Amino acid sequence: MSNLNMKRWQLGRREVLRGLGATIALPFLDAMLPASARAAEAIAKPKRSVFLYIPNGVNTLTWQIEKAGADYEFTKPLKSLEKHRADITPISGLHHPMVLGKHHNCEKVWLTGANVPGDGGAFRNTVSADQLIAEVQGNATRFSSLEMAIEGTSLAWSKDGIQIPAERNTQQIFNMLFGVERDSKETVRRRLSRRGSILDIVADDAKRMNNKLGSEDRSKLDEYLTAVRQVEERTRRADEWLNVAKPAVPASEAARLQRKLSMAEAGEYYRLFYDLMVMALRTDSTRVITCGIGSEGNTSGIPEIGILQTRHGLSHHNGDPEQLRRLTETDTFLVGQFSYFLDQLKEHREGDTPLLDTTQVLWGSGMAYGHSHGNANLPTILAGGKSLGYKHGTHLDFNLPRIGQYNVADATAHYQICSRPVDTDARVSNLLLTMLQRVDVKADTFQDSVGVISQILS
Amino acid sequence: MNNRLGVTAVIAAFALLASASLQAEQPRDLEQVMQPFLKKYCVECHSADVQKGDFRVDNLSPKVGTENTPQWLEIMERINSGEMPPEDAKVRPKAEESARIVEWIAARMKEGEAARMAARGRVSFNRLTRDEYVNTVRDLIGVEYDAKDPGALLDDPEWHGFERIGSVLTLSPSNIEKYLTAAETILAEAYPDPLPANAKPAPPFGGSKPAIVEEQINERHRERLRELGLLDKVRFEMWPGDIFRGSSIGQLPEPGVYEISYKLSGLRPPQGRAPRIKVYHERLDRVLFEQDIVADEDKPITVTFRAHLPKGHQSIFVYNDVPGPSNTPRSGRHGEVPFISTKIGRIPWQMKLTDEAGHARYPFLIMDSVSWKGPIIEDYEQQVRDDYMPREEGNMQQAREGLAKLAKRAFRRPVTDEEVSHYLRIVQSELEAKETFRNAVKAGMLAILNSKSFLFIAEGDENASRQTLNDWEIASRLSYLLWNTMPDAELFALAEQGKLRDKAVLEQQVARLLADARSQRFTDSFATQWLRLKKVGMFQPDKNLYPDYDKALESSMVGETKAFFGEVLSSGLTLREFLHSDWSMLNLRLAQFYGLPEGLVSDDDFQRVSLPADSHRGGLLTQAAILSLTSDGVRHRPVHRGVWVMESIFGKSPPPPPANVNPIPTNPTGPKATLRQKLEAHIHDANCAVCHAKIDPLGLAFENYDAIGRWRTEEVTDGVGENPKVTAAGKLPDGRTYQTADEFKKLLVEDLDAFNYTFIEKLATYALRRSMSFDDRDHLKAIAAASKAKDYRVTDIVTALVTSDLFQKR
Repeated sequence: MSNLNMKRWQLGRREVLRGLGATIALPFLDAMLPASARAAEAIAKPKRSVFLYIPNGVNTLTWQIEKAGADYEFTKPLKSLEKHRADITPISGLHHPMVLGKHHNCEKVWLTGANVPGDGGAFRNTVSADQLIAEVQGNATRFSSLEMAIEGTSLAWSKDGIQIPAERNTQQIFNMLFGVERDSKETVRRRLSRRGSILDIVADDAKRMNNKLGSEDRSKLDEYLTAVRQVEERTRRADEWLNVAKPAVPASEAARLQRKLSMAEAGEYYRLFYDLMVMALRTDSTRVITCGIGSEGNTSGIPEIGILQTRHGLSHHNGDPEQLRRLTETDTFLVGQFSYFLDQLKEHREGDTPLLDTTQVLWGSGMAYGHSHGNANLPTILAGGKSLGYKHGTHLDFNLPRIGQYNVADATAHYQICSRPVDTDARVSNLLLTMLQRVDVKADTFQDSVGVISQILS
Repeated sequence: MNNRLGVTAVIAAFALLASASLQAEQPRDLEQVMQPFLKKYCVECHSADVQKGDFRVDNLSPKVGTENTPQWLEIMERINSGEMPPEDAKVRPKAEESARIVEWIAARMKEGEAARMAARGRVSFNRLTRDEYVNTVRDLIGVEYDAKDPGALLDDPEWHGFERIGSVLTLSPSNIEKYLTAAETILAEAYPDPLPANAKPAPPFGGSKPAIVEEQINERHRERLRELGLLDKVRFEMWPGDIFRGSSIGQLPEPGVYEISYKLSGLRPPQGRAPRIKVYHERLDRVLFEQDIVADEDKPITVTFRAHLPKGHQSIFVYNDVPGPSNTPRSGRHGEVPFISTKIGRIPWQMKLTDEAGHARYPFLIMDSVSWKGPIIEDYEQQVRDDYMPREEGNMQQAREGLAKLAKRAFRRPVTDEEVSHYLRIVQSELEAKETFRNAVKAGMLAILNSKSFLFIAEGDENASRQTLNDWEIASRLSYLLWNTMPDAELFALAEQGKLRDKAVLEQQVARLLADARSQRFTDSFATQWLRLKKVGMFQPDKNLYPDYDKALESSMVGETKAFFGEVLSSGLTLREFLHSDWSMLNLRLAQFYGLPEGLVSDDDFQRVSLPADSHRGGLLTQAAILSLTSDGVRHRPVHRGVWVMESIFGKSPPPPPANVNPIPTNPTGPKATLRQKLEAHIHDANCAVCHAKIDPLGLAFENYDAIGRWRTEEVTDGVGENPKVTAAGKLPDGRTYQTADEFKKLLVEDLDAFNYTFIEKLATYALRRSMSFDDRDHLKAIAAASKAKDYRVTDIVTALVTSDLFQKR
């Protein structure tokens, strides 16, 4: 049953391949031009990436896995991942050097590693890893990347450091991916072509002015022009894809994916987002997904486990055992949802290969010890992507070589580890660089990386 | 003490400098003056190795005045204020040494001003905010656009609360896609497809219907009531949480603005909350209307509102949105016996609505009827729509004229024939693609609504360097300042005549714009941005700790602060009122929340109320919205309150907390202590104490108010033993002390000039859509002096800003 859609989609994919010949002059296909064989291969062997962000860190005392290597034991909040042991690598000790102690922008720089002002004020971000991947892996699919958020904002930032907005409405996401266009193909084509000529005109108008301006003061106009050009590309692309029907989702699944839910039933709601992601990957609608699981400021409580406080409120627990217990409970809950996602990615196969094997998934937070805004030793789990060259099954720990062993009974000492990096070379950027390279992004560095993390490569 | 003297000396020196450019030549040499000072006093903490406060001095450009300007200004200000080098530094400079450095940097800044201005771009582009877009489109084409509905326009990023700062308002491809879709929707509504020649026109829409129609009534009761002559007296009773689903009178024929009215009574239990009607559109996920209702059972009132709605079927639910007993058991159901009056008893198993004296036991609503009217297109709306659409099919000359009119108003400036030709080209290419004439013209309009000149408010000239605004740009700046929308016909006419640089004309225009109802937008928007009101409710108060808190209370809190600002502005009051007043703007809900005596306020409208002497309210600082907006949902946060006062009242941003401070240890089981005691216990780290000494006293004055702004004398907290008493006493950095929030407010009033300057700086930031820099200081000081001369009257401050040279500067 799980292969049903994929098969139907394979047909559609051949249509795209045929389409390639005809539309070879389109700029967005430049990357594929030199060797159309490589293009065909890229399309045939998808390499997928998913990034999932958890706000406010975790209860680091109950979270910390204490032993490195293959025979590590899952701590309580992580127990539901036991069945995925062979497909995941929990990582301890990573941090983003430029944002240490500056808590206000954790989610904004999780995938960028950029420097931010300490007062939480405005800043210009840099490109996020997922967008670099979308440039390479996004050309074969209807959507080069998919940005969503359950609560909170987008994790994705363009090359100009502009946030790419995330969709939070599940019905909008479903419609975008699978919704059947009400108008006829001809009407849509007319609309797209009209948009195309309008974009041409407004771009010309902006260009005429840009040519008269010095290079130093063009930033806003450049921003406009870049945006207009990208929409032109999207419009052309949408036009190309008009001939390819959107993937058909079986009625029963479609009904499930179109339910109107809210955070009042958090678990169902989270799984709806995960199901949409799985369906987007199964149908090869996109190969790059970012999803903010919660907002730093205002992630709702989880009524079904009896917790009504916001996650932010819980993270400022002041050591209160009850608050800490609840924080652990929500950590457990969030990991449980993640485990469900991995289940689904395993269950659905593409040919003989589980979707999980061609999908690298990063799950983590930009905060560790939320109470005092400690953002070293970030909670981080890498999963999936075996066919992309990963070797899983161990707990990779950058703290233990220097500290010998953990002692979470001494809370203050452990909070220290979560506030200041033990190994200053253990950087999130190294992991992001590793992930970039696994999916063919030609990069030798990313932000402040000092190298790839070879321990997780097969 | 020493420190203060030093600062005064420096300030004196600084003041001298401004008028003393002809005096003894300042030492120009970086090596002689600056470097030894930096080496001796600064690099130890601010170089590559240490970087305290994330600040380095060793890598700054030596071109002081033209490069690294923010950093050099930062250095100048920190030294000038005596903050740097810190008191605990091993060696500290003498006051004269510091003064010399400050003078030197200030002189370089002055010299660099022209160069810095010239280095700015020739044209500044300020993207319309979401609100500005909606208002502008309404005035331009006469169509209401629901920019906040799911999938419509995106939220705008903000900078220190300001949402209209050009450099911060970025534009992504998603914005452009959404603008395209928005414009398509707007034009489709303005110019609907004409009916086919043989089609019957739709029947007129509108009318009213009773809340309970005859068919809904059980037959037995229907006949009984008919005989009694009571059939038309049936009403629909709504207890707390109840829902009325019968609002629809049929499909809406067109998208547009509709007027909806409900006739109803609202019974409020003695001392209790009033019932509240909330009209919610489920599919649009939008609250169309909400209001507390107080009206006797036999004197129902009619509430009327307008909403912009899509065509077709609507999913509208009307709630009595007020807490009350659970209605899930059988006793909470509507029985088969239709409701007519509380004087007629209910079915025995039903919950009683009134007590023996006939008073309501719960806040409940009694609904009589609903009526609809629309779509409503005002004359001026139809007129602007007609302005742009050719009257004759296929007339290209008229198409050109229409597009030229639209472009001129949309771009808020004259347009060239060449520009219009570009848009006309689209019309031609659409016609070639076999599009209808009407649709082809709409494509041209679509292009105008997506061009840079509409989406951005541009200032400057691409062909030449120009540092002041032209008349058209002044018209826009003024109109967006006070009305949040494009200039109207009068402003355009004045721009056309070149009169808007005339200060007497500007003064008249400020008066005219402020007198218009649209200036409400300035009140709401500026108050929200200056005071950071969007933060209210950002961390939702914990339901267990603050059960009274709900959305209605939240909007009442914000409503008070906005209405207060509006009252100060429109009644000619002064800045002092913001700091302390013996009145406020309250509605019933808030008056109850503040624990004020019954009878001061009777309904949901905000009205000016004289506060009793012991109210503990007055001025902005002790309003619930302000006290709440810094809370984290569980506790009040005195340090954040202090930072808010520092930024909003004194216009200073404290330096960010140093990175890498040791984690705060936790202390859950000790004896109960107030947050203040806990804070004071661990500010022993000298690095922290230095700044906290300046911040904390500004927030600790409000210890008598909890996280949602309720008055209290003790703090409810974790731990063992009695709840500790709170203390609101403190000492300002300049040594003045206070015992209570009221005393603190009086100290602020004594220091009105500092607040005056801040208020003007905030207003100018809002008006000019950019942060104020060193180069604006003299202008700001001039406006501050004008304000003082008018006894700090807020309307006069607005006028002084608009008629200042600063207002005409890019």
